[in-house]
Amino acid sequence: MGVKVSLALVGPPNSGKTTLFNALTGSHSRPVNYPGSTVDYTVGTLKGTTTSVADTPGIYSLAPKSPEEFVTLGLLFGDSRPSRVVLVLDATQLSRQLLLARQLIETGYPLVIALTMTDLLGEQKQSIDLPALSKSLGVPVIAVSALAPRGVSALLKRLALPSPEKNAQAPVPWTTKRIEFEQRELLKVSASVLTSSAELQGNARSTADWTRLIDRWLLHPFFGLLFFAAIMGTLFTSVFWVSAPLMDGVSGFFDWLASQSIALAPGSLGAGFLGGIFLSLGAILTFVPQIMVLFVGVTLLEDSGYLARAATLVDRPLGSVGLGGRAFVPLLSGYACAIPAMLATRSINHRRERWLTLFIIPLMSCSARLPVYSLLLSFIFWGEPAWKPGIALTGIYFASLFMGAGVAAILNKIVPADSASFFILEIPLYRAPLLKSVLKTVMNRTESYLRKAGPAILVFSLLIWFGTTFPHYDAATSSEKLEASYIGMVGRAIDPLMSPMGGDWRTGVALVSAFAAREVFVAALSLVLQVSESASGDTSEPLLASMQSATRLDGTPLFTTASALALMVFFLVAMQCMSTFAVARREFGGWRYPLIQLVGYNLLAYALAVATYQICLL
Amino acid sequence: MDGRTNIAKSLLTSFPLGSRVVLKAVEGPGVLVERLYEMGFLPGESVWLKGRAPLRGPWIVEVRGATIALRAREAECLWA
Repeated sequence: MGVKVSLALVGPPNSGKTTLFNALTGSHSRPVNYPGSTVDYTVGTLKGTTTSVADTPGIYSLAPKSPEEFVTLGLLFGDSRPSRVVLVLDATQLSRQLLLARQLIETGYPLVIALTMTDLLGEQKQSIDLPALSKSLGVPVIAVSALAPRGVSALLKRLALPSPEKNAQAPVPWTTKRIEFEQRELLKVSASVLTSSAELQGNARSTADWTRLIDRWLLHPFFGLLFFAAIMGTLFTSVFWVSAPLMDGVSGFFDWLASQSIALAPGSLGAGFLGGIFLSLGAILTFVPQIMVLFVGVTLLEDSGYLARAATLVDRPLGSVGLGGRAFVPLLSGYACAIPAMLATRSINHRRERWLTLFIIPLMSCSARLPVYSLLLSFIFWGEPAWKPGIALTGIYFASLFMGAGVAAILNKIVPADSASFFILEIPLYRAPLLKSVLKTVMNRTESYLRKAGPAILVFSLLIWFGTTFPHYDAATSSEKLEASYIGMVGRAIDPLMSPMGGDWRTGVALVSAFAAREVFVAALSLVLQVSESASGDTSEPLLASMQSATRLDGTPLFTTASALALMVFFLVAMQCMSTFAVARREFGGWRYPLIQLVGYNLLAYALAVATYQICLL
Repeated sequence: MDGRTNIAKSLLTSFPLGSRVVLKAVEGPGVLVERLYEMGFLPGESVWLKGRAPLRGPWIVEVRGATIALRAREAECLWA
């Protein structure tokens, strides 16, 4: 953790902590509508001061029951405690949420209560007596509705006053009897401070009415699933179609930079290294547009309140293989990139479900596999109508889904169940997402992705660049360089392994290079095919044509439908992405499971690829 | 003896969808009961069985103005 914070924003999920945090700090954080999605806590600086303030994952009580709740409790009662807490409560949920206030007051924490959603209270024709609430609890209470910016400055003023020097005691767990007693008392407290009055608002539909109306369709047993499929289908397609031109632009730009820097001083080590850096940066940044589009979609769904509903809708289907509704967003993200997907599993409050989700994420067909599939499909369906590879690609995506479900189901049977998982998910009111806040969120998440994944990707890409460049970095052509490189040697060494799946050493070199990033397979294959097929030095031969004409030593074609199929099966299952491996180590909290994934998935991929090839030969 | 156990009660989930009933008991594993209490599911509390997610998924229940999705296991801790 490291950072010493002097102020912590604490509150139940959906109480508006993050919105308040943004208002108090003007920092780049975000409001969240999906219970428990503020993973880790964000630290900012209070406006006009040097006071550091933390936004924490939501908690219902001081008795934590999920990994995220433990994060918050760890901050509050760990070694570097904040000196004061701002407790953020939803005014429309007052009677339930005051429980947390009571528990925090009991520990002796210096406390200020910030009441949010007071605008919704008005819609419900209610008003709240703040001084009375403050008197009854014995702590200051300030209303900070999104529509009343004065509340925020009042809160800032209050926080500028020195906090009382008090030492908070670690919380004493409450018995259920005590919780029951307090809940009843708090119902009386909230009833005494809330006044209903018919004059307060017109008879416009309230947010709650709208929510009820919309949910009649979106949570409908039949239409609910239909809308779900339509919404997710739209998100999924836009992740690919909207981002495709941007991705091409980014990767084209870095390829150009790399070739320019190499051309600066051909054969020189420095220029080659610069080129390697650019290629590695390209490997990181190519997927950023796509990940941003994914984040925009997920954030819109989150902030509108739909994501909690989506999780509820798919909880049962996912539950049949040991997962749960909360696994949905991580698995969907896995189709763009496994790294943000793994980070997203932190909101799964059950250890075993999270473990299973982390385990199968590498099987989701991430977009780095797409260039490989499209190359191999174009090869198989050479000269045939475009809809054929299109259908085949859809089939590949379903195959990856079934593979994931199958592995999850098997692990679910093998791995002993620990404490039973619980699924108690609050379904918030629908609210229109604020564009500004969505964009801030997307920027934050992208930044956090780059921070977490960037270094690993850079290191592994540079390693593979090193392996494909040395020792003969000054070879006359890039294909000779690759052939003589360390990775070229590895490729030759695994040649005997390649022939059962229909490949030879050239396929091996391309496969090993793909451990930098899967799409590198395509570039490596074109390099390695040109060296052996174009003795004349003609390097402009298009890759597909080289694949058609490449032959083995005995003169039989290297690439056939069978060997291309075997390669696709290999890519479907193999865990080649070293960056995913690095992130998995952190998320699993050790090397054991990432190693099992790495070895297990690659062996399984190899076995299935060999089986595919051998069956096709029959 | 709890005193509560003698009251005639049936599972909340056995009521028709749309029912508004008063909870008589919350029973089950400790952690679960604790969380349900914290969320406002207490004996004597009035709840509204709003619906159920498709494919026999989670139950959707309203308590004290909040809508909450509960898996069958959690919902079956609630007696009315």
